[in-house]
Amino acid sequence: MERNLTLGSFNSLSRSGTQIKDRRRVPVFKIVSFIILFVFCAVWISPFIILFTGAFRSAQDAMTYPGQIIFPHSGYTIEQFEWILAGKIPTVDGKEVQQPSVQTYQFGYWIMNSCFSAIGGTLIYLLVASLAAYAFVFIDFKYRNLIFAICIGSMVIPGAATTIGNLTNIYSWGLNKSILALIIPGLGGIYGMYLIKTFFAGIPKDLVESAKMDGYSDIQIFFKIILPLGKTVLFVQGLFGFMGGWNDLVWPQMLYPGSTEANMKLWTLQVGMAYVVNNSKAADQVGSALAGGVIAVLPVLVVYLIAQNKIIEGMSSAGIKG
Amino acid sequence: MRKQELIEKYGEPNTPLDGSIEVTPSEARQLLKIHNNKVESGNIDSFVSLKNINKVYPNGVQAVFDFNLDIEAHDFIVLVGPSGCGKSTTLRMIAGLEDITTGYLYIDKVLSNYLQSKDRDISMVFQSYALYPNMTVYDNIAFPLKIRKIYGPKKEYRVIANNEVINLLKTVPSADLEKSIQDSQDRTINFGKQFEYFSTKYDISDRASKIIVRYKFLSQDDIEARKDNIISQLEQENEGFVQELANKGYSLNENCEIVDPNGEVVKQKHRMTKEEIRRKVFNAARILDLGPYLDRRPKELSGGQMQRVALGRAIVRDAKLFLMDEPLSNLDAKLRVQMRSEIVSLHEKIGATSIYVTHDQTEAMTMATKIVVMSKGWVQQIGTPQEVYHNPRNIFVATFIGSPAMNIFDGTYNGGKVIFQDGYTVDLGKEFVEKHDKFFEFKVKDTERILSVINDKSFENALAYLNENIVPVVNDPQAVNEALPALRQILEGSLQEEKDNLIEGVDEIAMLIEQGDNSKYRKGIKHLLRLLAKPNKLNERDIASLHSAMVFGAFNENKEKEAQVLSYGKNKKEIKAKKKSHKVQTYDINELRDLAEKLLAAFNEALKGPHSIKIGVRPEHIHLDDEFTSKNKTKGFEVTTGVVELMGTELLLHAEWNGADVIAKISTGTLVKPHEQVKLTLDKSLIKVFDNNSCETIE
Repeated sequence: MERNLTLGSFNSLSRSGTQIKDRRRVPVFKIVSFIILFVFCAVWISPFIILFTGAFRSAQDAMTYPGQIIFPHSGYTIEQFEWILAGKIPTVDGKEVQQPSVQTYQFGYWIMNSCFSAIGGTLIYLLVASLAAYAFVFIDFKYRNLIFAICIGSMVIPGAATTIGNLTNIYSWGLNKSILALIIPGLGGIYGMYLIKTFFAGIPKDLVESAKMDGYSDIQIFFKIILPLGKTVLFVQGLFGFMGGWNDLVWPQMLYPGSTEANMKLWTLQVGMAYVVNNSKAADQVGSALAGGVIAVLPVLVVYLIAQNKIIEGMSSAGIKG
Repeated sequence: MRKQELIEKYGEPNTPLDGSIEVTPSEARQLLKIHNNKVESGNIDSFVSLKNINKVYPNGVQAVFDFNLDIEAHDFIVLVGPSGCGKSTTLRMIAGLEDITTGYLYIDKVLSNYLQSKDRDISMVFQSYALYPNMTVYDNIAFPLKIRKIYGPKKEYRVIANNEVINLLKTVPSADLEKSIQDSQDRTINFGKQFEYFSTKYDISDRASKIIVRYKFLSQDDIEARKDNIISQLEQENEGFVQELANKGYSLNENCEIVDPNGEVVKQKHRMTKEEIRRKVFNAARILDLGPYLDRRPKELSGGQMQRVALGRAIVRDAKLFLMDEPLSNLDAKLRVQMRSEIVSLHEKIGATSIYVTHDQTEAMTMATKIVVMSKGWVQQIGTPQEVYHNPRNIFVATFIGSPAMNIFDGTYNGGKVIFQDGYTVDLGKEFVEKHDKFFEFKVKDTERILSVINDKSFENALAYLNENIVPVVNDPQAVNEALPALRQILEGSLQEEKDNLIEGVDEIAMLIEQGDNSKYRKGIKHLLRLLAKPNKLNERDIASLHSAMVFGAFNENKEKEAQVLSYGKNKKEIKAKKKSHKVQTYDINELRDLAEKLLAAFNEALKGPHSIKIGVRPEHIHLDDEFTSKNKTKGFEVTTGVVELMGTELLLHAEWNGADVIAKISTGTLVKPHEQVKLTLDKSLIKVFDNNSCETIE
């Protein structure tokens, strides 16, 4: 009897005021999903917190309790950056933390080389790839489809498989002591070319035909019409290329093995960082590795934050999924 | 042959080659190279001439068959046909965007097959407008001009600029000038640079306006104070420039053109200056009412405005030939009508020879001076709009041109009388009997001629003779030489078009033998054997007439499908074979023979007595019985109206009559209601009668 009554009143309530009922219900699903998301965010962001705070702690605070991660008891300092950039080795209790056997770090060279590899390599690659894409889309040459099929087919060969071949080539051309070797193998990349080609294929052929009838040559059409129209996809590919060049470790490490002084000047930031990390295993040296990490991650992070919207726009316009 | 020899024989390089000389293919290739691909032909009378143009796409589809057209200067040609009829392909071949598989294209007497499209001096409006989204309207219109090089007198631009500044300071009131200077510094007015404001406002060169900006006038008083000083300074400068030239032996004439020591104006190839470009763009903008939109980008424009920008870009070039590929099909109906008349008036203003492609017969009828009706890659009829409308050559043209389409009925012809299915008879009179008999007599004769060409055995005989009498003794020049006259005689009796070619070959062999050149004549005989083994060939006109009979005529029950297979190659094997050969299609001669024999029988039958025909009546020639008075009026007939569409000035009346859907166009004087009985009548003199088999108009 009582049960019927409650059921009846519940029904009438739900009929007359659905909103009230909804507001009272606890959104369990949302809470659970937010908790899960929060956990994942914490897991994802905690290395960054450790990285950024650790880089600004003094050598004696390098390994602190978790509670002191954000508020170290001797305050924030930039002595770790002074160490790796200017060679001023910090001291703990009057003793220098680094052994004299370790080579001085060449962060200036490493940053320069990384910039060359990432920016220079990307710009040259964009030129080469977009010219190739233009040819594949707008010029009707013999065996075009066959050549393109071979190019695409070559994408299934993993990069690691061709590394040794590339290295042999670089050595036989005598480029193993040059920073040009950092960018040359990457210029034959197919993926970026394919991306740009897909975008170019969406540009009406009439534009090119019309310009040709007016007397423009292919190269003029390329620079005057196609490149300005393909800005977004070039930007996206440029960003990919920049990230790839900046973050590449295996190739430069294979190119310039051994920590001789001459080789060290050819290293990129990533190789240098590997060396720094390797030398910073003692508790009071960890800060130098963290400071190096900040330098390595900062440009990529800044670029991403600035260009976030454009990346999404470019990706959707170039028809990339996932 | 060496380059030097060729030059000696055929003239200096880079000059147009005389197209009437005969050369071998290998020589031709070298000659074209030497003469920069320029070949002129004195035999061409018209401005643009297309001769036997065929187009086969790389996938084996033949899009255009034997296209022949002569275009006079200032003509407005419209290519019209249903989609897929090859009209756009033809236009793109003229534009140089597609290769011409076989045939010749002459533009202004120059053979243009091998010229790149930029060297053909044509401009084109694309269906999608092809405006560059990254440029403003001004830049879009100026784009073709920026690359152009013109051949003209060399000018001393420094003197011109100084003169312009002097002129400006002398003539323009200084108050006015002060205001312009203030305006030019105003950043809110959308101008790239300060000097560009002056260039545009006073129509002077950029160089001159830069000079004005350089003086940094502060106020009206400042201008007045420094004016005379500046003028004398500039005049002095000018004298300096003239002196500079005089030292080299050159002088300037009144137009500031440089004159060389011999008294002739120095000419050079140069890019157009910015002022010239600006003047041309502004002029085009004025013609097309684009002034307010010049600094906008294409996406900020409406469809009609984009269309006009595309037209503007085409007209600034002053090209010889103006091509338009369905330029109005992206516009809405009202704008289309407006742009249609604008294009016509533009054509009247500029007078450029134009070729216009459309699938809309209304556009064709209203714009053209000459219409080319196409279907399935074949030209059906070429003529003025009136001709095409009043005297359609066959049933396709009759139904395609005119809106609504012509009504077609099945019927029978019996001695000057046209009898519809239900027995309704129209007497077309004695004149028509005469026409009818003449038409069929001609057709019989023509078909007999075609058959005789198909059945011609002369090549077969020649081949047999060659195999029997010459091949066994091929190594004995004397014996071969003796056998040749008989071969020549056989060939002379041939009906084939190629026979002249072969007879020449025989003569050449005889000549080679006389010269004692033993290796070459054997090659010639081999070549003869190969040529003679080919099946008989018809000329293009005959194939075209048989083709249209095949596609539209009464024998087409399954033939239409076959014809499609023939041209579109649905069969996988066929496609493969075509891809390999990539040649202009040749018809199966046996199939053509069958068809021609059937046609001949039918034509003969038609001359003897009653035979079935198709009757065409245009909707505008069907009238209400009680409204129409004419001596050509036929007996009235009753129909039940179906749908009645009110079009404003007229009614479109749909009804069922004689197993076909009749549409009649009736003036709205009498309002006819749907689903009621009305009495209609036909205008006897305007009835078209088509032969059921060839589908050509009997007239």
